[in-house]
Amino acid sequence: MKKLTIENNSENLSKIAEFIEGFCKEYGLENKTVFELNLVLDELFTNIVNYAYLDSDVHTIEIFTEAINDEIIIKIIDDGKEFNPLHMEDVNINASIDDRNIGGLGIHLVKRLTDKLSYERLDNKNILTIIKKILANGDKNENCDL
Amino acid sequence: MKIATCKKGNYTEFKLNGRLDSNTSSMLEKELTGIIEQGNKYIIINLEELNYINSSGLRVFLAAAKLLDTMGEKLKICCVKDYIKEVFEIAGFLSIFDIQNSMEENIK
Repeated sequence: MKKLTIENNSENLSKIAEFIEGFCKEYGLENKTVFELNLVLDELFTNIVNYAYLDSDVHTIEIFTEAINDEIIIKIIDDGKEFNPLHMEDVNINASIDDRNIGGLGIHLVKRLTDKLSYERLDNKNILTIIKKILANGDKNENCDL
Repeated sequence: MKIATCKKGNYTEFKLNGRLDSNTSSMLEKELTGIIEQGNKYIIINLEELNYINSSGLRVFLAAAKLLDTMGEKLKICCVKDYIKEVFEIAGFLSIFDIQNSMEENIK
């Protein structure tokens, strides 16, 4: 299991990207998976930084990653206010352009790009566990320099 | 992210290069809405060199498409990498934008 500990500052996004790339390289995961994991963690981390804290103090966010069999398991732990992304209303992606809301897309992407999400509130902390299945090594995707 | 703008006939092309994320989306939003509010309703966004997008980038495209919709036009987007097109699909944007494979198809 690997661990990244970072502060709640949006500039730390690049540290998350580096961490995920290192993890994916170690397990030989394809570029599409690297992109999708980066996007999922970007959305969740940005949400925490923007909405979780009512004060302007420095807080610590922990990210754990591991790969077991054909699954990637990522845990994100923050000490912000209680927030269960699974309770967010689903975005209606079939709405006409007039009725499309600008918000809510981030969590929608997280739900769709992962295979399982679970949430618990423990000791005043949010613990979100993400499971993503590893794709069989088939067609190589386009390169994406993240 | 780099944004290059150029006029091609009636169209204004925005060529994006790099990452469209929370740190760069407001820059694009400013430029896009500025051009549209000047009355330019034929807009093409060229994503050939775009490597990354997140929800704040998607929101900028949706806001621009909504603005153009009031002028009776669709936002045209071309040359999208497959993994970014998949994000558009998940977000339900394929029916909202006019997505083309190449620049030529777009300005016909």
